[in-house]
Amino acid sequence: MKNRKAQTAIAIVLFITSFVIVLQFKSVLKNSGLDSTQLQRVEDLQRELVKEQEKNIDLNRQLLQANSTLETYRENAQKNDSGSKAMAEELKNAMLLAGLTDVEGKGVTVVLKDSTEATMGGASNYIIHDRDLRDIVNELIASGAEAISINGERISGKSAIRCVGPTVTINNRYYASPFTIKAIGDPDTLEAGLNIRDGVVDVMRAFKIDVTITKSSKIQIPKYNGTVTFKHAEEVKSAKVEE
Amino acid sequence: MLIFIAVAVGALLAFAVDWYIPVFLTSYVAIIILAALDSIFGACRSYLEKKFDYTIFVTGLIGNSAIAAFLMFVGDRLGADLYLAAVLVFGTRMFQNFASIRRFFLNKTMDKKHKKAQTEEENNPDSVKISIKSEEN
Repeated sequence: MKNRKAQTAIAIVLFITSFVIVLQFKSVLKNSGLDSTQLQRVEDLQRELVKEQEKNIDLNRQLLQANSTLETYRENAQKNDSGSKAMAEELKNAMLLAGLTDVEGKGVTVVLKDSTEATMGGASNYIIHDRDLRDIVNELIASGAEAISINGERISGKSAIRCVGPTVTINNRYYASPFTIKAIGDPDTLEAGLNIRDGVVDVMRAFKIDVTITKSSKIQIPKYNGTVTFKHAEEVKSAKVEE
Repeated sequence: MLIFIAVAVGALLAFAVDWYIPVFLTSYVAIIILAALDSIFGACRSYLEKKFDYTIFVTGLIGNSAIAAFLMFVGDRLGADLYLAAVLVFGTRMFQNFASIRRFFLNKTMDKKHKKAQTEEENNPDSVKISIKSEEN
């Protein structure tokens, strides 16, 4: 009788244990070799990333504040000295050229999307690369665009468009398809420039990349969102620059 | 017999159900499985030695699992692998218990052989006496 009871007790525990062992085995298999320590590492990295992103947001806010302070100083300087009006005008033009002011006017909007067609001869041809964006920007500038932005990033004299893995960085910020390129200029000229036969858009369309060009009478383009500092270039004081 | 049925049914049931242990619990479950295995080995041993006590078995199982899980938890928080203490103890004891069980069965077979040899000797007085020394360690 006692034997029976002992056997039952061991059997029950064995039943539960074997159940849990198999369950555990299944769970570990399902987690595809990720053990909890690795998972913890991922969590740590995520936490770090969030922290960095928060820092980034904070710094951006500081930058905006500094920019607005600078703006106030400029306005004050303009008011105080009536003789410097010409200079203020010059500064305004320079900033417009450098892309440091928000601008609006008529122009075109170009939307680029990766090809959704079945790929033949390498998927690489069917997605948008940094060089495609550069080609379009180049074509727009050649067609007289006065201000250009890609996904809200103003293209300034110091903007770089680079390929970083599956994404593209513009002004050191990451972007991926779809890309919205806005350009201010004469809409007809800009569109014609893009649509030149065997030109940049023609080639992209051949690879089934979705290119939509819309003319618009009012386009707004934000200013270059970053700092412009010169570490190496200095103004030449002598009268003539050797060429 | 009952024991084998229990193992088979438990394993099959676990395969059948669509449950998964959450990732953060897997390390705890692993250590509790070890505690349970230790208890089972201990129970088998005491059962064979006819000293099995139901209460000791159940309290030992629950208590050991609880302490092992607690060590795991605290170790996680403190950044030291305290659960190693549990792994070491359970592991060592499992081997000891297995050694006892093994010896139990070995002694049994040895005794049988011994008896057989003795009876043969009685039947055949001329044959060389086979001495079987039972394992001491």
